Amino acid sequence: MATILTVDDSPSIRQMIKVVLEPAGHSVIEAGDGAQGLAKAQAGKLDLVITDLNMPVMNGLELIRALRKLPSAVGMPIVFLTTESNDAVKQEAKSAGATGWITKPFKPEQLLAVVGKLVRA
Amino acid sequence: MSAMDPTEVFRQEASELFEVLEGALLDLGQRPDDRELVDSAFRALHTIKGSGAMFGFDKVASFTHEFETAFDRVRKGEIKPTQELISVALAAKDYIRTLIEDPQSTDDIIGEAILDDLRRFVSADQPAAPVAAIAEAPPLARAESKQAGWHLYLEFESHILRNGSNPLDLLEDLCKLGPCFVVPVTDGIPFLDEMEPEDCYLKWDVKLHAACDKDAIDDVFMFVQDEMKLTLSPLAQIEAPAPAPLFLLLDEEQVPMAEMAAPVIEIAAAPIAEQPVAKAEPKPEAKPEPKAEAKREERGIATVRVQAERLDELMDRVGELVIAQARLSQLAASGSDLSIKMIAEEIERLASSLRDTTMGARMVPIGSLFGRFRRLVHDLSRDLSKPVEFVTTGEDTELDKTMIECLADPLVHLIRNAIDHGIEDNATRAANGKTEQGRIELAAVHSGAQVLVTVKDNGGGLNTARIRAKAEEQGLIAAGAVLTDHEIHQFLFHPGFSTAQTISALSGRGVGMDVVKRTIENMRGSIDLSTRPGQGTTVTLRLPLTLAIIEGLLIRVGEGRYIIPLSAVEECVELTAEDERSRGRNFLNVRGNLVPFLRLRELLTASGSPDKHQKTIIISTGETRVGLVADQIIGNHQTVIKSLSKLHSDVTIFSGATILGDGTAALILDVAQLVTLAQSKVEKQHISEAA
Repeated sequence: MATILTVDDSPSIRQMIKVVLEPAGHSVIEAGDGAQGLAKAQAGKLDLVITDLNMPVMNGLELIRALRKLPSAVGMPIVFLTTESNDAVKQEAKSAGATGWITKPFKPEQLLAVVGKLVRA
Repeated sequence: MSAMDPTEVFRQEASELFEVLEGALLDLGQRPDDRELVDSAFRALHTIKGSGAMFGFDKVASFTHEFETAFDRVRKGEIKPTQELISVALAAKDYIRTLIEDPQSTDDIIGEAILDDLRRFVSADQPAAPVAAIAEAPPLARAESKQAGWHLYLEFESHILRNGSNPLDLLEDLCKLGPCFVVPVTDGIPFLDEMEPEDCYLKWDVKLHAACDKDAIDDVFMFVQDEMKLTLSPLAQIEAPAPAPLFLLLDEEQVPMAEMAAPVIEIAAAPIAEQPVAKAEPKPEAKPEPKAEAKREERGIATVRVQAERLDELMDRVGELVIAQARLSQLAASGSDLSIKMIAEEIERLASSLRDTTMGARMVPIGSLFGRFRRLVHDLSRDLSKPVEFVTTGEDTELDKTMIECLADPLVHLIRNAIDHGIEDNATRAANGKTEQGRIELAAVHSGAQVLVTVKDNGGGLNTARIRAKAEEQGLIAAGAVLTDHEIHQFLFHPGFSTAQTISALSGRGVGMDVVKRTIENMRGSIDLSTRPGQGTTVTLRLPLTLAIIEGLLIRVGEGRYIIPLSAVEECVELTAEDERSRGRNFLNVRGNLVPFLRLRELLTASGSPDKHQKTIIISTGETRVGLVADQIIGNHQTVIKSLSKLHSDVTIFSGATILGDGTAALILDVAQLVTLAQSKVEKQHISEAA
């Protein structure tokens, strides 16, 4: 159905996202940091990006800002993963151009709910 | 890797992270100021915490959270990573590793002790928020007092689309909560040239007919709550559920962003139009489509009898509206106020569609008229013992009702003539090898903005020689004058002209054709004859679709402005110096043809000096062409005809008046009269030249 990019330096999180979203019919592309994520986003059309904020090389905020400058990513939803429940981080990510967020830890159904909210068949 | 259990992946990942963490901590002991090391240690901790919670390692998550909180102060540079601190951190790391790899072998007390040590080192007495609270999903909303539903007013910040949120998706989610009645609020939409294609200008007014919790609604707008204004108020009980669940309409294709505005308006417009305000009794299973169709059909059949005067009055008002609208458009076009321009355009559109509808309401199929002649033909053919077959075509051609009424008498004349003069008697027909039964065809057909009505017989055709003899006898032409057959046939339209040897009850009194011609010309139509000896005659009436509004050509002569019906205009040419020199002769050379012309300045006794370049408008009625010389051709003008008062009834060259956009009046020139005038001038010239 949708092509979703997950950007996280933690392979287990990426794996988790993959095992939840792939059975739901989505195809999941992985990237280990912001720079890789940006390269993947430039390489092809994506329907959704799920990114961590804390990452080496290029962090999540930098990635969101870079993605928002891509013509191909106009209107593309970007969701960030955060353990911080404090609003300052959310606010910063949102003003960088993020669409929504998922608070870690999350349950598979929560992930699916957010993806369903932002990706329409 | 794709098939692997994420928990197993986490264990592997965690053990790698522990190595990173250990390495970073040890190195930090050597280079306590290395930011990179602090960051890498912190990231490792962060990931362990986040992923740990994800895969059910709650103890890992809560312990690491406190570890992270303590270490955050190091990251922020508030405390130095001393050797003691690093030792505790290493112990903490080992403890976490045990929690993941062999949780049975350790005890919470050990963890608590390590945490105490950590807290002491970073001298942070702030009690860390219990991780459990984060891990838990938000508690289910308390049920609020039950009610009919919610009235929402949604106003998004303009950049909302750029951040990947789609208000349509949100509306769709809202519709999943229950039947929604969505009305877009469009007053924030700017002019096209000021519009940012990526901005959201629409606001929405939503009535959600479901007694759901406020939290459920908040949940829909979770991600955009700080980028929108959501006004939420409970819906009064009286308003019953909207009949059709809107998400059915909202569904289907994904709407590209650029096209967003239009479909949304449709979505809202449909239910409003079809189901005006929810009724007290909702019909849950009603299928709106077929029902609406059935209604439309009923409406199609139903007719209302309206007094003709009312229709005339309505047309009058519409005419005045069109005039007022023209003034408004002119005013708006000269100003720079965009909103006035928009309103003016809207009114122009409405006025023109109102005009069309009103004119349409006055249209009557000509068939009602044709029916009357069947009896006429039957009686005549019996009286004259000329068997005649009467054929009509184009009965459903529509004409303005006033024109239908005006057409009745002329057609009676034409049909009488056709049977009396056109169709030969039995003996003549037999002699010419024709069928015993004559044939008269009455046909109506649309031709552009005109309707052609033809009366065609298969009789003997016009006797050109006899018409000519009669014309000479009556002194209409000099004996031996060179005239074309067509010109000779025109004498039939002269008052008092009849070639019938005996005056019958039916025709031959010479009051027929000239009256017919005048009636048709009063309707701004024209009449034409064509004939083939031995084969028959066809009379063609060209009629405008309506009497009330015409397309006109606006011209200026001196200070005054005049309208020439556009249907009579053939072309516009410049009056050359050569033509100018021919003053007194008043002939214009149009591609080799001499066309008589009238100087409107002289005719209308215009004041002021003439324009340098005079224009000639060539008008025609049938085959006769006449040039009219004017100062300026202004252009097309939708002309609403106002009749002249009785005081002006003896003014022949004007057929009416109209009001222009700027409120001034313009007179409408009577083309037929002008042509006659020009011809009589020509004849006078001939006579004076001959003398």
